[in-house]
Amino acid sequence: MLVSGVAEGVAGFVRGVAGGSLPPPAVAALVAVALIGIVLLVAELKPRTPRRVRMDKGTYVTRGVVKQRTEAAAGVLPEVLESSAKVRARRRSGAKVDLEARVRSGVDTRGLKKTVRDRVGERLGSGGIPVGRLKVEIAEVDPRTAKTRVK
Amino acid sequence: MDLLNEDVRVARSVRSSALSVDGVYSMGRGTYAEAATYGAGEKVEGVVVGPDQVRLYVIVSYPSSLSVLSVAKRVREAATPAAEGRVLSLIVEDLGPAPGESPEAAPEAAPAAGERR
Repeated sequence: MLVSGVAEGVAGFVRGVAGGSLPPPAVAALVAVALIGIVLLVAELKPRTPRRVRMDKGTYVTRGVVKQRTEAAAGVLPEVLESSAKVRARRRSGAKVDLEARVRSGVDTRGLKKTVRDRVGERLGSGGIPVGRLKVEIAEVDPRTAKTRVK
Repeated sequence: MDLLNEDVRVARSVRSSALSVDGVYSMGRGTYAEAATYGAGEKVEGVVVGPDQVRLYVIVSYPSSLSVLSVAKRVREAATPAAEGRVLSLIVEDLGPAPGESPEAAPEAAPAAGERR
């Protein structure tokens, strides 16, 4: 009974498609299914984002190591109270690093941004840690809430 | 059984080649799953041997006189013959203390397989 009911419904639907007389909700549902199909196809064909940072062909370093060394390199600067880095791996060698360095209010942030970028880039480069792109943001923070209050 | 023993033999050979390189602090343990080759009653940590490839996980001393990339290159040179024709992938999993420093002086360690920070 249920099977024959479903079969009749499907047959009616197919007749509607063939005759070009589908109700708008059915058309909307078909379009939605087609769009979901396209999204799934693109997601399946798109290459995966790599998990590890490539140093050389066949040689990788974990994102945790790059993050650790970037934050340590920024922490050496006396103006930087604390820092946090987000690291993403790329398909080619080197990581994309977004570094946020927190400083006390009143510091010349524009000049410091360049200093931080240059010093961190130099320290990471000399240690052989691959960074393809380093983006630095400076944020002012109340020293009372920072991890390092006094430097 | 012979294949398992063969994999363990290669894993042991790759591991000892890697540990003989200056600048390598220890073998890694893998990040998301334990990195090891299993045999009959034996486990070789830090090396995963497959039919066509070998994955090698190391912890490199930092800072040291050599850059991380230089140490990685030396490890690759030392371990490639031991891999017996398999493609070698080297992963620097973490940084350990500099040569001569105590383990307490190590940069904050990455969590081992299955652990959270």
